[in-house]
Amino acid sequence: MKKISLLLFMVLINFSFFDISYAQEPEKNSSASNLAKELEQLKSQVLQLNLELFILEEDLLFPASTQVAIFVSVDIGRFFKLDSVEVKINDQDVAGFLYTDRQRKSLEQGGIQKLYLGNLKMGSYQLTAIFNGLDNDGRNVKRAANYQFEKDDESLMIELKLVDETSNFRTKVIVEEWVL
Amino acid sequence: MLSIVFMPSIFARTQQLNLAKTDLAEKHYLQTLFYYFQGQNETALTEVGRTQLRLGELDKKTSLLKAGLQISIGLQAQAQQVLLAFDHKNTANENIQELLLVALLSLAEQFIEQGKMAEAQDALSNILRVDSRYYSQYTMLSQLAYWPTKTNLLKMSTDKLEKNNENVNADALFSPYIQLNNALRHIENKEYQQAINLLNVLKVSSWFSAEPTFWQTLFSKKLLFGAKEYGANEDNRYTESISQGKQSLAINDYARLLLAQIYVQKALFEKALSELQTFPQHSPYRESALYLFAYSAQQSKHYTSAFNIFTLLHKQYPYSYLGWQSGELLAEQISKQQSLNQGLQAYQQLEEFYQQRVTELSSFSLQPFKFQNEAQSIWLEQALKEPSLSNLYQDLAQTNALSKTIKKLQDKSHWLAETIALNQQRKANVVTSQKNNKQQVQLNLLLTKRTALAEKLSIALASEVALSHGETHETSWRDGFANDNEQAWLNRINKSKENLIYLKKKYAIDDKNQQQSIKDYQQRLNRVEGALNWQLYQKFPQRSWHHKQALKIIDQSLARVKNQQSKILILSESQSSLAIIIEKQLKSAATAQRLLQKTQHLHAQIIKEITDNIAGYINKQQHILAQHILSTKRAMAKILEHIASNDLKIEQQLELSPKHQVDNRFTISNKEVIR
Repeated sequence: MKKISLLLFMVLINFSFFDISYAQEPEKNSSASNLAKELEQLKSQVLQLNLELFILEEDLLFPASTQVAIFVSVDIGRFFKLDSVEVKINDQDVAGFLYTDRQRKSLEQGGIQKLYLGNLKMGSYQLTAIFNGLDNDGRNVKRAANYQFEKDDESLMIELKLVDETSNFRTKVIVEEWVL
Repeated sequence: MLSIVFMPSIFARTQQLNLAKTDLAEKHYLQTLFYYFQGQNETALTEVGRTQLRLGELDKKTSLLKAGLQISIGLQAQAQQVLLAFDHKNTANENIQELLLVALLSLAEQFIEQGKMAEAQDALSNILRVDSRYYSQYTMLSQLAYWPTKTNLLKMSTDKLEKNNENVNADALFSPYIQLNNALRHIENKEYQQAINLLNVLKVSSWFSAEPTFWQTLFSKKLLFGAKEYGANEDNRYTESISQGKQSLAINDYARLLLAQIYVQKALFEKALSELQTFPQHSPYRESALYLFAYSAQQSKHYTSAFNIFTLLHKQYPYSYLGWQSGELLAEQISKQQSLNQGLQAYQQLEEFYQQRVTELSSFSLQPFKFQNEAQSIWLEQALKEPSLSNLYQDLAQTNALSKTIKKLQDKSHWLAETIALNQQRKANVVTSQKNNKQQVQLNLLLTKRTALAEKLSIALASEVALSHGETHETSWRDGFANDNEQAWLNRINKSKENLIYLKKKYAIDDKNQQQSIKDYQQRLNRVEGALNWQLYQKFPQRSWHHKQALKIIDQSLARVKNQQSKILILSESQSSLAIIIEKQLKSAATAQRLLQKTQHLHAQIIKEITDNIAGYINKQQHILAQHILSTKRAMAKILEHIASNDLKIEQQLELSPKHQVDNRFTISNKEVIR
């Protein structure tokens, strides 16, 4: 597009009454180009540092032996407009989330949200997830699931899936423990 | 309305046993998409990096997604490496092929925008196959990358559905952008008629481009051609979703403007006028169209229109080249149409106007980064229209943002260091507490007790087996299986037996009375013991089973304790895991410091570059303004000459005043002009 506007400009200057050169400066300035390259490298290094610290934090605070992660996904949300979710483990609130439209749409488009990352000792636990939302008629609806799980010394990942059921036009919650 | 789905653990375990391993690569990919869909491309890229670290390598789809994210945040060099090295010949998957194509097109587009034509050509040359959906984009980018030379384009590849549909192919080639570029090429080659034919079609056509594909939206978030500017005055709520209608209108306007320009070049001013008469007010090309219209009007002697529009342009665009030129054309018209004196006045005002711009520029050059007044801001705005300067300002903003990010990362690194220190302290406390509690001694005691219990149980079981084989004297099976009451009875029986032995020894065998009593006692004791044995024997299987179970539980608990103890021992003795984390933290802290210094250095370099660029820009503008001032002075001198010659003519005709008076007046006026 730039070429088009540049050419237009070149054409228009033919009407100039003066011998003034309105030509654009050379497109590439080598020092500016070097600066751009340096900036790009720097940006990339900052991103790498961010990643390293992120991993370091995760390794330090959530070691695999005690790590438990809970994810949320939506497939595909025709009968349930997700508004919020609450998650309890052994009746203790561990996570809650209030969704914006954009976040909800991200889930409906297939994204998976990491809702909670925490630590649990080895043993048996009960997870309770309560999803709040609206049905197609705009009424408040809750969908919930209870799930018993065992925590051993490996990291545990649980996905809470909101799945449409076309047979009854409702949405149900399916809990899937990822097999690592 | 609450419905709860119970998912018992049995179900879950069955599920786990039956299901294959979860596709973690896919799950990570979908987590990345969650951030991408929210426009958090940097977070999405971090998520991809995390996936790469956790899983070891990325699959093709995620690699291309990573490249796309890199393009979207301006890391073209990295993305280019990935894309150009991508083994697309061995990739049969059509989705991946499509993804690669879109990525390369987006990369080429970004390079073109930055004026890196060689890199854009590189990216385009890596495309091996283009289907109809992307053909117009490919053609247009090739035109731009190789401009002004023509290049050999790949043939459009069609899928089965499209083979029989000629319209698809025609549509792909009749993209408005391609046609506009063709028209421009014709204009450059002075093939005006072909250009006019093309532009006449373009100015009235409308287009409804296909909905961008998922990958297109991923790799390019740029606003479409002219649509942002179009009607920007009436509605500022432009978001990523751009009205296709406005985009189409912008193309129509541009075609119309080019047509008018051709007509002006060919001195067909009436045609140019009729072309521009209905030019929309809110078009992004309004300024150019107004100028062309006024110029055409002036050339075709529609002086009132020309006067009005040049006045409008001069007032509305006081910082643009066309605005400056309009001022001169206006003054020229005034001096021709109205009177020489009015013309002179107009030129004088124009000169003042140019001088004012020069003064503003000087003020702007002193402090290009501080905006004390509106004029400085306007000059900065004008300067930022220069792509190189605009890019530098963007770079400057990016370095500022990077500095902030690095400082945040430094804070995080410090926080991690504190957490590590707390962890070390906690570990030390565990070790101390372990030493103080003498846990190993306690565990050994428990193990000894457990062994004793196990031995007791095995003796009791062996004794019970012997009893069942007729060895009635065996009584050790009873030990450990009687309850408190029964044990009291057993103790009493044992005591009585001891008493009887004592009595037997005490009284002589011939003491018949005593012997009879002892015998009676013995019989009574045997009866009691027999009854108790029977009672205990009845309960033996149940009790021995309970004991076995209890022993098992004790064994399990002890095993857990041992396991836990060994873990604690390993954790407390080995510092390796924490040492690795400490090492990483120290490394990241050093990296953050190094990056911060690098950013500050780069920031200073960019400032210097901007200062140089602004100086160059100011020089250029001052040079142009100086030319305008010179030209104005020349025009004024001409007017004065005219006035003088007119006065002379009048004097000669009337033969009224002496010649020296006229000369005197002329000299005074000329001095005023020069001043």
